[in-house]
Amino acid sequence: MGGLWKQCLRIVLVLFGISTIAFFLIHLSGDPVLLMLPPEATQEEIDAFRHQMGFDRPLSEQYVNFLVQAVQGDFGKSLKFHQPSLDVVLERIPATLELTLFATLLSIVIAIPLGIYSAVNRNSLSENLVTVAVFLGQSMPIFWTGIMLMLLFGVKLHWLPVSGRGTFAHLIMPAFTLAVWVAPTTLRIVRSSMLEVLQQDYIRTARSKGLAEKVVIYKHALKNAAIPIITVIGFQIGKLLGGAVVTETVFAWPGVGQLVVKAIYTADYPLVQACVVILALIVATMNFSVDSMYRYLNPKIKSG
Amino acid sequence: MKKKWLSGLWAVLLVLALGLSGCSQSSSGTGGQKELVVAFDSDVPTMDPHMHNEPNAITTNWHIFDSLLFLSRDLKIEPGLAESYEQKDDTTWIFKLRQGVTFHNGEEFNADAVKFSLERVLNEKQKSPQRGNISAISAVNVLDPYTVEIKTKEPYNLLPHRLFYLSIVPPKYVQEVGDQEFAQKPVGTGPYKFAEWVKGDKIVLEANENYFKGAPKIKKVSFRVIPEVATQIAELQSGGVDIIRMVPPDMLAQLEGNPQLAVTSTPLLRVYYMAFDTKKKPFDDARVRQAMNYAVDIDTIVKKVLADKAVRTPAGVNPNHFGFDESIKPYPYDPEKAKSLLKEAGYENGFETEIHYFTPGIGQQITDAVISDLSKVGIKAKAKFYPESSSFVEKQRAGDLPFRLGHWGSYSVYDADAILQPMFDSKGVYGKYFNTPQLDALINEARSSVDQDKRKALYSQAQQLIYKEAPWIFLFSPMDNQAYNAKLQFQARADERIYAYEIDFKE
Repeated sequence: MGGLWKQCLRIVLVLFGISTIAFFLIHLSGDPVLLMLPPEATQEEIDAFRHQMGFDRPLSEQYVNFLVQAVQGDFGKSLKFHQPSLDVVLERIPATLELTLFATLLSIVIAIPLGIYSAVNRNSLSENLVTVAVFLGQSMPIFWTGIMLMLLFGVKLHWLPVSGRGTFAHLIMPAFTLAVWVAPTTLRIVRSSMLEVLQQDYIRTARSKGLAEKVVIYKHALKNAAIPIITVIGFQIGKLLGGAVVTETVFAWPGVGQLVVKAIYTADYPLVQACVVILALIVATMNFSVDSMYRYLNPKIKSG
Repeated sequence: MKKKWLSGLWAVLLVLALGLSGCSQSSSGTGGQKELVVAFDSDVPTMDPHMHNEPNAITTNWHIFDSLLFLSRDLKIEPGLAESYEQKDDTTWIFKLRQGVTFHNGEEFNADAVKFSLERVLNEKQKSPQRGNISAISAVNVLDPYTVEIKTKEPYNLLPHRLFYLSIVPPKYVQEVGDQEFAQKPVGTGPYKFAEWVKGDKIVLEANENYFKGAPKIKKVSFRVIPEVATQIAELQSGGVDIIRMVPPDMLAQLEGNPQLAVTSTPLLRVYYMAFDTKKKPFDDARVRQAMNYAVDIDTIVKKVLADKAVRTPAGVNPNHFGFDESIKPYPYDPEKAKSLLKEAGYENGFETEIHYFTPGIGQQITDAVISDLSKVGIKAKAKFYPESSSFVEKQRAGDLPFRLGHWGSYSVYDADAILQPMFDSKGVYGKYFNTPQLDALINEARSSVDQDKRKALYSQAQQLIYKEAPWIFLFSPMDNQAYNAKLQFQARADERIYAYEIDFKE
């Protein structure tokens, strides 16, 4: 149980660090008062508003206030939406989770079979084709992939809705765009760890026992190659959330990624902070779960 | 083993697919009902019509609420919730209200609702960002249930213009449910009733069959939030949305070739300019400022950067502003004249300067073109871009930008005052960059005068003075390029708004 506490403490420390960095980055870039008031506002109105928002107080005092409130889950009201920032973010979280989780699933479905295939059929023509596909997938910018898919399947073929959220059909293109972006990394890890495992003695033993090749690969080898694969999939969640910022904008997907971009552009501080903390919390929790899964898969790993 | 493993994953996907699609099948085609889908570039901040200043939110409000007066497609003042109005004396206006109108929840519309709505915006504690729009009002008095008297602090001609966007809200409902709830579930008198707001995704409105001007022809309107222009265009091409606004000029040709779509360009009120700080060298010399107007080939910029979708604004005022003087012709492109003026002013070898700007995209294209033209007369200009618009706005206000690219939308007030006062009155927001006692007198006399012919004459004088003094490089006013489903009966409005009540499907 001590390990669990340590992990939780780690998450708290990460959140503290992230929110501190976010706070200072945002506040050092000027204040949003002038953007929020109509241009004909007088200097008195500007000063009054600045005072009311607390932007005229020393930065250290603002920071302490921010921390005290953030601990209680209060990030302040969004300047644009006039609602508690946390509520605004939480409203958008399901859309982002739906997208990233489905994209993760898709990327696994793409990466694991292909990774195993290219490890088993090393140096064949088809393995080279997979390698080319990996390079392509890694080098295509998300924005471009998204637009191309949209033009093909949405505008030309009319198979899928172009953008927005609603039916399952809406989810396919944005999730696939993200999946194509992260799958190559997973695929490479699957390939390399499978290659390594396949050379181990126990694989040779299994084969010599006369087990079917399929059983050897999927039961014995894959299980032993699982740890690095799970690690990379876990870490990719953070990358996926980053990619969701672009994907959500391209596909008009109403998630946190789109929200945080708009919030940054409009200098909606409280909202930016709430977004950053929530996204960091998701990433930290994912990493935490990966760590726990580790321990389950390999009892030799002790927390520490 | 392989098959089992894979089929397991596919089963998970399938279950997910069925589960997700099962719960929301409603988003596509709703039978014979006519639905209009309009693209928004960003979500609205609130449904409370008094608590924002954003174009998309104003469009949304317009469907749900009415104002005392209505602005017709060609910018004429028409009755709204007020049947008629008259100016009793310089500072007193009487509005006669329409009878028998009810809000969507059945609450009756009357003079109390008008008083409540105006006072709600004027109340400092409410913190409405629209307070400045009507801050000229000193009192709102109910004379009888259908007559309202509005008093202004000073004679204020533009009062009717300030009332177009001021939504009338139901007092009982607002007080009963509170501001928070009202901002989520608005109730108005307008042609459409609020149905649903999926944050960041869409706003759905339904026809108000009891609308006092008659039931709307289109029964359902959706505003879909689509931030990316390329996505908006793809949606339009695939039939997912019916109208998009602000199509970039370089995309127009592509859309014009599609027989299922139509494209229209309407003049906007927004004016682009490059302003000098006329108190700072070398811009304190009118000859330098004139020279720079001669040196820049604006017609070519309009052609190349804006695909010709812009009109010139020879003295800053837009042709759609009341008071525009059409006799003033823009500075012609004449680099030789520019050189000789610079020589006269003692800058034979030119000078170095910086152009401050914050609008990416078009702003950068304009700035680059101007820099290249200026270099031909010996002026070495550099671009200074502000990725954070807040720091640009702050510096602009403080008077810290000697030479800047800006634009001004006049807050949708179709009167020269809406641009001349903020820009060139010594008390105006940006007045510190250029003002003269004579111009101050002209602007303020026109502002308080009630005689429209006299005002027009005053504005002509003001524009001639501005043209000669050249406090700006007078650029242009871009058009709003709208693309829409060719099946629509649609005529663009001159005020950037899309108003479903005026639209129908053909057949």
